[in-house]
Amino acid sequence: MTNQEKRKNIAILFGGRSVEHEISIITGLQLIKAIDTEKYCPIPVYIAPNGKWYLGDKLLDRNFYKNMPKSLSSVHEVVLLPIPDIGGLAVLQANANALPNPESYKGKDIIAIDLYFPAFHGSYGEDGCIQGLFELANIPYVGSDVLSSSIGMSKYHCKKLVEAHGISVLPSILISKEEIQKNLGHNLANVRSKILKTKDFDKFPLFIKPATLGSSIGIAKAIDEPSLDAALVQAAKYDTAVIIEPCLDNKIEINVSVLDQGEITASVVEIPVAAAGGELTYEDKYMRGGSKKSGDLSQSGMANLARIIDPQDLDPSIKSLAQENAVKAYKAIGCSAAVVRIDFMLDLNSNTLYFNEINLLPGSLAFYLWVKSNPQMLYTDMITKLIEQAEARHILKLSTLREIGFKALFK
Amino acid sequence: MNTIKIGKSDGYPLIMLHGWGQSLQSLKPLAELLGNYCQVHLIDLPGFGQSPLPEADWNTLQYAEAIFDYAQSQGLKQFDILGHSFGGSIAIRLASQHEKAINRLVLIGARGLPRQSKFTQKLYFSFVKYLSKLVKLTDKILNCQIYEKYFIAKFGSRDYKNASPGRMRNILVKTVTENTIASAQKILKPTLLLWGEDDTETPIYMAQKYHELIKNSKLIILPAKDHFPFNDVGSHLCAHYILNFLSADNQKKQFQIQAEAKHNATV
Repeated sequence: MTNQEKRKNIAILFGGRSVEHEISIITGLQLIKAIDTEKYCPIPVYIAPNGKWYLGDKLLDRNFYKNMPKSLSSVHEVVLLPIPDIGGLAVLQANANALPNPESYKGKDIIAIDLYFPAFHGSYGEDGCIQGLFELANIPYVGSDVLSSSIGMSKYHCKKLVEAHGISVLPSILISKEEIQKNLGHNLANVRSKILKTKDFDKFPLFIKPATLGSSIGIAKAIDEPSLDAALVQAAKYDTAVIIEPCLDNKIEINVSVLDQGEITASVVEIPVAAAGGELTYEDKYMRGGSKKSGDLSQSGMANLARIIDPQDLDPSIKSLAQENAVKAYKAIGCSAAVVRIDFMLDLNSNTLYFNEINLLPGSLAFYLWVKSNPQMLYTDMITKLIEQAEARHILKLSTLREIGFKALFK
Repeated sequence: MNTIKIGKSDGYPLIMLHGWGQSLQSLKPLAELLGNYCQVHLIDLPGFGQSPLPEADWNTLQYAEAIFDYAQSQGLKQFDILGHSFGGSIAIRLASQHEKAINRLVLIGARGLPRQSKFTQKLYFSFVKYLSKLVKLTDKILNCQIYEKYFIAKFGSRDYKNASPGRMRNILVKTVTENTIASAQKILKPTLLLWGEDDTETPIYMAQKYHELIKNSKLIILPAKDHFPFNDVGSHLCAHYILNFLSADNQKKQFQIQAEAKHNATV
């Protein structure tokens, strides 16, 4: 291979302590299959459900995950230390039969990494947690930083922020898990009446969601008081807070992706299609299509969802409003060096477009939208752009002054 | 021949040829990505997909002539050609026979070079060959079908089993042993070789050999990809390299034309 020595080592991280663990594996493996291998050397790094980090070529094979934990003996256990300037992943336990072979790391207990590309979805990977570790280690990484990731992850706080920037949102109520648990003995009467007494929340149906989760996990529609109680308890199982929203009776979902390619740009819009009409479920998003041929990754994950990309019968002014508001929201939330997907809700009765949520690390990195955008962008080129933006951001950050001294101690 | 056109009608024409046992469908996802820049012609090779059987037991030269005739019928004076596997060896034949018609070549896991087999493998192959003759003879004498029923199931290659008995099997036997070295050596046009590092059907030593044989060639080896590097999201990676190759060459050409014009102007 030409330029083999000059290639940058890009750690692609996936898995993680999240209910969207398996979706992240799909996103990560897909990314590795599409990355420009002339320029970059992709290094798969897997965070197991128990939080341990693994590295090795065996992670590229889907069967690896079927044969866990036995297969873990075929990869190295590594970790990223929160100490600046180490320059890579520390090897905790090298396995003789794992590839890349430890021989090539002879005498080193650090595997050199130039840049980190998180492909996580959900908790600890998309919400600012791992980004915090990247910051501590002072390394370049793709995607939004700590603050924007954590704001974007909280549906409630995110809406409040974009609303302040003049983007329409549906009203919402935030209820903590603590409050739900405290009232369990009283049939949730207090919580229920608090919700139903709030303006815009006095009639069913209502939507109940975990405050930070994606992939439609734990989402339920309440049509009466008993189903509201059940939905609250259900959503609180997944999260420490629950968000309640009014339910539009005549609406469509409109998604658009935003990418930092030097300039912040919006993709074409899409309308995802639910199997039975109504809301998209986790099954709609990831399980539909039945048994998939193994290895056919372009048809996996979010890229597999039934959808209408750039629908011809959608009002062009709605399309451009969605694109405009998506770019505005991306900036308001403070995202950088990222590709995100922003989901809107179009109320067909009033023709109002509401910001619904932002996905800071969308499934399949929303590449299926960019390939249909004008001009077309290949997944390979999108990955390169993200890496370059991440490098530029890191250089910019290094230029900020951080003087640390002990003068005050010895005055 | 069954063909479909994809992409920009005013783009530079690109003819895409699929591999053995495949059809134009196998290259369609890649074609759709290239279609934003090229006028893609996807062809079901005779005997595959929805195209009828060729009228005789063709070799790759005859296949190449059929493709050339198609290009003529479409009014394509010059075009780019992409060939995968079996389609790759046809593309090589076409480029060596009709040099002027071909602008640039893209070869993905192209067939046409002899396999470097170990002594034990060679021994096994000749054993199978003689056994097949013996079984066929037995069938003839005893009027039975041991060959068709048992021999092929046990010893036939995947391609052979998939080929319908008769013409397509004859063509397979004929083309699989063809050697395109002399044709490849004749190619002077810019050529991109895209090869999966883990390709077991046309291993990468074949890519390196083609790289030596074709003077103006660029080789890109794709790590962790097999004989079908354009499958799944690999289509994006392949399209990236193909479009880079095609556009870089376009720019170079543009530059040459400008330089020549300048030169002519000063003279």
